[in-house]
Amino acid sequence: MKTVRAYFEGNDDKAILEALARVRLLPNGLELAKRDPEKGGKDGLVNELWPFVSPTGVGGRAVVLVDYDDLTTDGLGDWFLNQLREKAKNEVVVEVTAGSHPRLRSFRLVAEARVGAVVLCPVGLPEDAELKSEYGLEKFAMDEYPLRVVRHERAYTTTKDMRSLPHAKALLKMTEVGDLFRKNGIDVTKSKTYLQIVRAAALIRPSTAVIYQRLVEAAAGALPPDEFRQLMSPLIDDIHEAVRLLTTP
Amino acid sequence: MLLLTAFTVENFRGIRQGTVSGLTDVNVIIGRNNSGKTTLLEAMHRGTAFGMQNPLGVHDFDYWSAVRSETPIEQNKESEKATVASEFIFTEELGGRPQQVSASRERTGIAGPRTNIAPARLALSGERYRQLVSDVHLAGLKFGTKASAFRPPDATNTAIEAKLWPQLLGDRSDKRLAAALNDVFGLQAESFQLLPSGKLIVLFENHSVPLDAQGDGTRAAMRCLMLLTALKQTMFILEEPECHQHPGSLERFALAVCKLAKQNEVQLMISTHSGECVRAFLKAAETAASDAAVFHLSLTDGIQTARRLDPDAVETLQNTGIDVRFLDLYS
Repeated sequence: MKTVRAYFEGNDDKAILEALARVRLLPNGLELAKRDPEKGGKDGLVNELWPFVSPTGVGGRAVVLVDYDDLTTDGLGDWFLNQLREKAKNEVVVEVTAGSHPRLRSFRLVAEARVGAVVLCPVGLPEDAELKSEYGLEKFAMDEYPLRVVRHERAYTTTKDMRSLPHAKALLKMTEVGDLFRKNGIDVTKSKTYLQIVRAAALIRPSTAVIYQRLVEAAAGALPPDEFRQLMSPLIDDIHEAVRLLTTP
Repeated sequence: MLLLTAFTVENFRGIRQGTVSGLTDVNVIIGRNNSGKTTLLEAMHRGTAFGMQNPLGVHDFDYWSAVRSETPIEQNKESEKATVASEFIFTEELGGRPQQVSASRERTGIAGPRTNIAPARLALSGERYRQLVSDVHLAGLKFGTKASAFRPPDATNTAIEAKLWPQLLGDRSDKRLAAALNDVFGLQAESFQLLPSGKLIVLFENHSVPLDAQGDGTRAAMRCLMLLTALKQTMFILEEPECHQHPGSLERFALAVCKLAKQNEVQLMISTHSGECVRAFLKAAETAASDAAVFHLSLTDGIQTARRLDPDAVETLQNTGIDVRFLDLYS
């Protein structure tokens, strides 16, 4: 079977995906792309993806994990389609493959007899009402998953880096400091800000990416498989479904 | 300059059908073993050379018979079944301005016995180019006649200097060769001398050394550049140029090859298994202001597929962790 590649926005996303791969929760044979650190983010993503999926290039198959930010599933799908069309010019036809999945969007790229394929997998938890109401989130991204881990007491306490900051205090500091920011006119609308607060309060020196990886790996080790999968839902299921769509004739 | 832009081969050796298009100045051909790299290059050479002698006085089908370790008779039988189609672009002065003309040529029975070469069919795009038929035909003949190949065993092929040295000396190409060799290997050679015994000597300021006393990398580079120097407005097939070369030398060797090819209007067809070689030739082509492309070949049930990648795509793929030699893992 041909290898499917996963493209993502940056190092933090990669850290989480690598942690999931390490605990064997990603589909077999899914290869994580390397990202150019100087061309990270959404815009650079499509430039790096294109030679791989374009039928005038490799004609490969890829799962593309993109943060929702402030877009809806349809909005993100439209943005991605436009990005692909911009790259395709008149050489490649971009077809939207009909599908019934609530989040995933499939695209087929055709040039004469050659074909490439992409499944867009939006990342973030805009439907997690609890996270939204408790933290006032308006922009959604991969960071919601480590935030869920931080909120889960057993998963949190098994992460070595967090031992200097008791779980209850971590939760308290996140809301206290978040509120303080707001009172001072500083927008707090992303999960990453809360995770940075915990990182500062726990005096953690490694990068966010390293902490994300450790949190996810610790959670995978501490929780029963079903509970961990639930914590990382729908990310893991969406990736599996995306690979299935790409590999099923 | 006549440029081979596309090539189709049918029923030749392991290839039932295959097309490579988008050929340009510097073409780097990669693919797994048995993907038909050498077969494609052989077909290109034989499909354009009309069974004529190359600058070393060797007929293309004799050359490839030797490469394949087979008798020409066996090869002729097989090559009679083969069909090849070549597309060229050709620049011609029309109305006082250089204009690009495209030409296509089809042949059946590539490089059969010299007396039995099927005539080429030539088609030009557009009525007004009709008067150019003979020009294009002549340019095609010249292109094919001079087309040459250099393979790793040619590192020790003394016929290269034996045959070409008078010509190279005549136009003082020996000076350029010395400069190129010094540039590639930091040799500080002053010039060369061909002894009556046929031995080529590298002359330094205070001593001299036979070329064959130099390392294999130096010998390969020298003979390759010597052969390339003798070519003009044709195609040069270079198989595994990384052979014997240190990665540092390889980059400089690639640059010397690309510069010389540009200067002599020679189209390069390079086959390799080395990622370093791919990078070296793409970088060298950019420095020499030549266009370049990488072609990844794969062969399934006799159908050869060629994926063309431009240098930017290769760079992006490599930066995102893909080794372009293994594209067949993905598509």
